[in-house]
Amino acid sequence: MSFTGGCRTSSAVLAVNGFAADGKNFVKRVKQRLERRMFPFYVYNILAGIEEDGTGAVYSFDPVGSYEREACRGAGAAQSLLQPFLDNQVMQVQIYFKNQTLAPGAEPFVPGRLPLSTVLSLVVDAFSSATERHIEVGDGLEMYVVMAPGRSADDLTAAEAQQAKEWPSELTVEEMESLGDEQEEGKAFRVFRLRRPLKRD
Amino acid sequence: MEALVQRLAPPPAHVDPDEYSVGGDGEGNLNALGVVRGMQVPRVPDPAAFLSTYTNSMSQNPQAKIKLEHGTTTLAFRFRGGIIVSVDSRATAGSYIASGTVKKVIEINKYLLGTMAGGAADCQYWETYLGMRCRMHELRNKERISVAAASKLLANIVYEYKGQGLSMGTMICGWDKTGPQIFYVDSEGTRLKGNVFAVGSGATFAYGVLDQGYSYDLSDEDAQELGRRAIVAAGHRDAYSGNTNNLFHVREDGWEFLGNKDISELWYKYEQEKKDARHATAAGSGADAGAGKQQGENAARPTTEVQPVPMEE
Repeated sequence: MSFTGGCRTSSAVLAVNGFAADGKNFVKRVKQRLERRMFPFYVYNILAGIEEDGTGAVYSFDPVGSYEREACRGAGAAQSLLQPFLDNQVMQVQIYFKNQTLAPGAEPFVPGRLPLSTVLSLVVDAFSSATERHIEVGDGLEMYVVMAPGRSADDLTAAEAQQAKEWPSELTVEEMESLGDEQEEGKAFRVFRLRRPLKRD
Repeated sequence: MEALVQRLAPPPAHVDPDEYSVGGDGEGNLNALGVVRGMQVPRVPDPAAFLSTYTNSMSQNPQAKIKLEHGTTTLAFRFRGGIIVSVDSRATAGSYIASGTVKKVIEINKYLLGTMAGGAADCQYWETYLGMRCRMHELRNKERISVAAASKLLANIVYEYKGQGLSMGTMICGWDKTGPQIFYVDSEGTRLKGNVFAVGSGATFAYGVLDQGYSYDLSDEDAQELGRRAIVAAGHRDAYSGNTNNLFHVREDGWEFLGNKDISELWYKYEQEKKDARHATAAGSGADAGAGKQQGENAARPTTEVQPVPMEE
């Protein structure tokens, strides 16, 4: 009983994880109203997008609606494999970065300023590792990247970026078609879908 | 016959025709009067039992598939300078630490704080809703709601859902015409006024520190430190509490946030301070060691390493 799905708007993507039927039904109804405390949907949601102030935002939800803005979140079958890795590599405050020992003289990480290629490799590595140790994870990886209006997408789409050393292998990038609800030209959010195969055993 | 069928039929599902349509007459799941619409309840004789099969909302069924996030150690106490509210930030789902950055103090408005223990969603939802009701009271009566009235609103709301699986243990803290007030409200319908409360799985540890150091006449600084210490103790000893401590001080002109600090860093800082203090006393007594054998023994005692007792279980 494992399912991953989602939906998107022009500036955000929603990842849904849990019981397939509940998930599909949830996505169908998410634009409507949700009031299911006494009869929860078995779904964990992660909503990610660009906040009005231009910062990237991740909100995670439990099945009955408690939510929190976070720097980073893994959910689903391999949550307990992904999250510690991401805490260590990506996150910024409190418990995160804590268990890292920097090489002598090395620059400490600047939170939230990791280059895109590094972030993509981290996500690919996280999922490849989860595939190795969890039977319910594998086959293929799908990533979504939401870009703020006006931000150059060169580090994602340019050929030289994709040929760089850190760029994950076998990664395909496609831009999602516009949903038609953006404002003026050039001020639209851009959403990219990235796919990569994972081990299939 | 009709009456008999009606009596034996399962309870009607609270299906709201609006639920399936976009929009509706009010905001969100509220109707035009600002009242919460009927929630969908499972069509079974005992909704709470049904829920506990699938969720661990009341910690009865660790095998439940849906692991809801649980709150853990929270405390609040009243003293001369107002109210101290201190909480940890860990949410656990079974033995997994689902989050270490939970905001367990819910800012209802500038003068009212609520704490979160039990189901995270229930506390977040109902205390935010309480904030709306408090604002309505202000608009209708041209004055701020009292803490007693606010907590009673919440108690009455959760009492309506008694036995249907809500899980929350909260302290409503604020300053009104009568001064600083704390009310403990839980999903069983209990509502208690008091000076010192701790709620959650780590509450016993917090009470231990709190009772030891509490006095109504504490200075602001000492009271804040006591609030921190109690949560640090609970965060250290209770596996379901920890990560960071959030501290609030409620005064006459509203609440103030006093910061977020890492519990284990605080714990080891306190331990170091204790050790330094012991060495200082030992060194101090050592200076007049000539005073006699008896005194010399006493001075040596505090520095003796205590052998840890192995834990059973």
